[in-house]
Amino acid sequence: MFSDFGSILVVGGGIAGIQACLDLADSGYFVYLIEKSAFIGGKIAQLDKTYPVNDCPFCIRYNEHMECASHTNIELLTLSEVKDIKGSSGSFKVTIAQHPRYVDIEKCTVCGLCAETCPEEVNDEFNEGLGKRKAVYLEYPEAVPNSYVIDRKNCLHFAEEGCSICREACNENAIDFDKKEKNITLNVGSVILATGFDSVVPSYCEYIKFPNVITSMEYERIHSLNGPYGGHLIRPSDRKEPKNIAWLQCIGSRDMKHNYCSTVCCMYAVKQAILAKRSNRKLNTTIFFMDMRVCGKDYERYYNRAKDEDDVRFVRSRVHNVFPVDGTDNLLIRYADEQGKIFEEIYDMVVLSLGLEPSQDAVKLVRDLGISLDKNNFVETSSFAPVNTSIPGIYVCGALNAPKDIPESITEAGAAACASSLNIAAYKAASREPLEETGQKPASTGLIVGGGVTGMVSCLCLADQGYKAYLVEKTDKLGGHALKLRKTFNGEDVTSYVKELIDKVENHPLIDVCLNSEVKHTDGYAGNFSTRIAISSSTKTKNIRHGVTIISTGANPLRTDEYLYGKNSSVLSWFQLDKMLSEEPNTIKKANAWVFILCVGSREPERPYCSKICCSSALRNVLELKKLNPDMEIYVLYRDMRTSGLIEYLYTEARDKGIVFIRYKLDGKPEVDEDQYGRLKVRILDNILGEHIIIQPDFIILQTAIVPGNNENLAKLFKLPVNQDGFFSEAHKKFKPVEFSAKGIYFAGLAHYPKPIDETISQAQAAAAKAVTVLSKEYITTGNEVASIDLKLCAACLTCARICPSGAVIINAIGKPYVEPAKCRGCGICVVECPTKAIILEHFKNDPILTECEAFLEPFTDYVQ
Amino acid sequence: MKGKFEPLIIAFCCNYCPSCSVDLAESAKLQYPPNIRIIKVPCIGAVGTIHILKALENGADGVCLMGCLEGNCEYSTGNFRARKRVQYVKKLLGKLSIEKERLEIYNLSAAEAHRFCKLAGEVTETVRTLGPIPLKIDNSKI
Repeated sequence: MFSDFGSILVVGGGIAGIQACLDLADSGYFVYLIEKSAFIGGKIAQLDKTYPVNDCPFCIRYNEHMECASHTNIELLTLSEVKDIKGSSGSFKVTIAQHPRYVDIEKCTVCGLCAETCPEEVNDEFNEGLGKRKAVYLEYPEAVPNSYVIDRKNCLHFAEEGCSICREACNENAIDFDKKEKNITLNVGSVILATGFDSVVPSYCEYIKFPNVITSMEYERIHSLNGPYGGHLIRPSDRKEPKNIAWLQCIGSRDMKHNYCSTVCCMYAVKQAILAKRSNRKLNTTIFFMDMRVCGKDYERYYNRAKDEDDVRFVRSRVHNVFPVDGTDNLLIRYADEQGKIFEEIYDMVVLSLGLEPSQDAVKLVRDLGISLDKNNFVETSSFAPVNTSIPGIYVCGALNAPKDIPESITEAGAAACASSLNIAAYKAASREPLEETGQKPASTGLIVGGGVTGMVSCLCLADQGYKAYLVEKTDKLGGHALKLRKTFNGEDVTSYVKELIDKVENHPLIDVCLNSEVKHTDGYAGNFSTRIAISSSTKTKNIRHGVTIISTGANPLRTDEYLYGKNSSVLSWFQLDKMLSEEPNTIKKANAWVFILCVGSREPERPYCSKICCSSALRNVLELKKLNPDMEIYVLYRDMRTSGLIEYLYTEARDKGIVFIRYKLDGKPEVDEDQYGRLKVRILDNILGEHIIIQPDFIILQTAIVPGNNENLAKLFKLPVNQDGFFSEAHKKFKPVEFSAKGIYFAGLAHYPKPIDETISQAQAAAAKAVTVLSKEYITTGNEVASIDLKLCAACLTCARICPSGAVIINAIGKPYVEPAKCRGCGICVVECPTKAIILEHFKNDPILTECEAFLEPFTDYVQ
Repeated sequence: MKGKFEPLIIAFCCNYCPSCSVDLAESAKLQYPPNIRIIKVPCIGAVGTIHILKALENGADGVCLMGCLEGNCEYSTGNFRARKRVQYVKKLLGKLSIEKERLEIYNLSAAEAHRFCKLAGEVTETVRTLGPIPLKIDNSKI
């Protein structure tokens, strides 16, 4: 155990906590991971599939869970709770209470005899109470740490009976009932809080008591292969297959008590409906919703697919109650549609899409520590420091500071890792991972392409940790599009932040800014890239050797010609309004009526994605206009109001202030005309009235789509994938949000997908945290077995060089092949193709496939005879 | 003890998709015949002629290869190489008067647990009807 202050404490072993731990441990810091329950993994393990890829989340994250338990730089403390944190940034003293597991992790072989013999059966929380488990249990077969645990609350030994059947059944003597609660004191430099969320069952939701009204998490368990029903979609009351299922959205979100949007419910309902539909084509699935908030990368496509291909029915409505149907277990849903007409429909099963709230124990801890919380108990953070709490040295990531999705949680975990390590960079732990080494030192420099906010933040993160950074910017100044922005959605001043950032970057001794420059050529692998940069004003080029590359080239607003844009001077785009707000407030005050048109160019057939930031930026400007002149009339024409997360506060405020929201459909877009004097007229169908209305505004503001920059050249140079929309594609949409599949190249910001400034900054920090895991290594490491060639046997036929799928075999000066270890991915194809058998995979020296083959065959031959 | 003939089949599984299917089948407690012995390989393209023939020579009654879906190989062409190699080995088996059906190659995605079990059953049944491999040395006669 390390007692110095160079270590970091991570509270919460869910997806964010695990990711933060691994990012830190891989960069050489010592981490303590505290988890309240007996197993790490959090909510991820309970989920059946993830959207929009329909992968099994657990299968993909399993390696990370295992790594977390076995990493030399991580000490995992399960069944532990933080009691108190004292001290200040750089030297915290943390008191932890660790409850006994009663089963020795070292001795337990997970044979399961204890659970088999245990007489006490209780409801299984892992299966949301739909199944049973014993008082000594393993959550699921692959749970980490892989050892049984005794649940003291339910164990008969601790009740009056004093039962000890399991202790006698255990062959390994792993069970010890005499273990006592331990108090542990840790000295750490930084603390990361990643305690996650709880599902909200609101008090008005009385119909939850009906057996076939289930929560979204119960549905996940029902649909899961390792769930209580073995993956068969049946309803709890009579175990029959339902013929129709309804999903009710916004239960415990966007109501009077929880006046925020939980961000993830729309997408998980769509996913559940698609999967239900795929397990039974005849099933009728209906989603009752208010606004469909599917604003992440590729989410809109997923939603369209649900509508068009999978035939999921979407009903825009408010459900006001659910009643049982007498004599059956069915349920009657009474709802009002957009015009207020009442309908009734009967369903076999109803799924409540429950919202998220910060987990209750964590809120207590956070409040005791004196960290400031907002009105819904989310930890308050600034857009410019999205993972910093009000106490220096304590950081936050995941759903504790706002409801959020998996990719954003993972990104924030990386950002928290980056921020917390900057805090204690001087104390780096000496312990390093014994990975395989190629004997080559990595270049301890980073190349950042794109000098917007993202690029500058990444640059500073690297430079502050002592690595040299090159910042390549195409134009003649730093700042990018952020120079045109005034305020974030919660009113923080972007202009001064960007100015300060530019100042820091330009004056940092370790940052080399190359303006008017472009990347011309690049080659190499993680730890050893070499890149040629051309400066456009001269014919000079510059060669750089660098260990990592971060792409942060950003995106651009769409140039549209819709709605008389460019023809009438009163039709403005959102950044023109931003400029007007700071330069001509008097013109604004004089204007009486404004129309904001949302989704200009977004969510159209040729651009089927949501630009994510338009709704929030429109609402922020609307409120600012209203403040300048409370008498003005403002109309917001929208398709779905996508103010996910805490941005919902703005929507509530805007409605309170009397702003008129009118929804339009793609086939009934607003019509904009001008008369001979240039006065504007907007005609739109009002869904509530069912009639066309005419508005005569002074100004029309268009919230134009965000389109990717010219990424194709860069993609070709760095051999990176781009998606159908032209944004860069990450290694995994859900779990690797800042990485490319090629090691050593990362990306952040709007080059990935449109996103608000706080997410951009946390992504930039996360990319830097990932980059440091490469830069901090003493030697370039390879994660897998690599091939090597025995030149004594080699006939130099060059078959290997021809067939290698990774291009790892190069021909050296004497005409013999050589395997570049950092490029080799260890597939073994060259090994079998080599006619002289000169190639071996390291650590596979005596052909392991043959050995395994023989081992399998021998005992069996005996057995058969 | 001489019972009913139970074939022994070596299944080479690529470490990517097919192994995921196997893991999925196992964690879902699906049943597949115990005659199948799985050997995980880094890529199905890394299984050479030598491995297939050695397996048969050492007493396996059948060999099957499980690769990723065509076009989905992590190493782009590993599964095509394996398919070609299987055709070549089948030709060799023909020359040795060994039934070609003892060797087969399949393509599996990562989520086909049920299909894996079904294939395992089919392979076992095919080899069972073919009987023990003629190469097998009968220890009792030595």
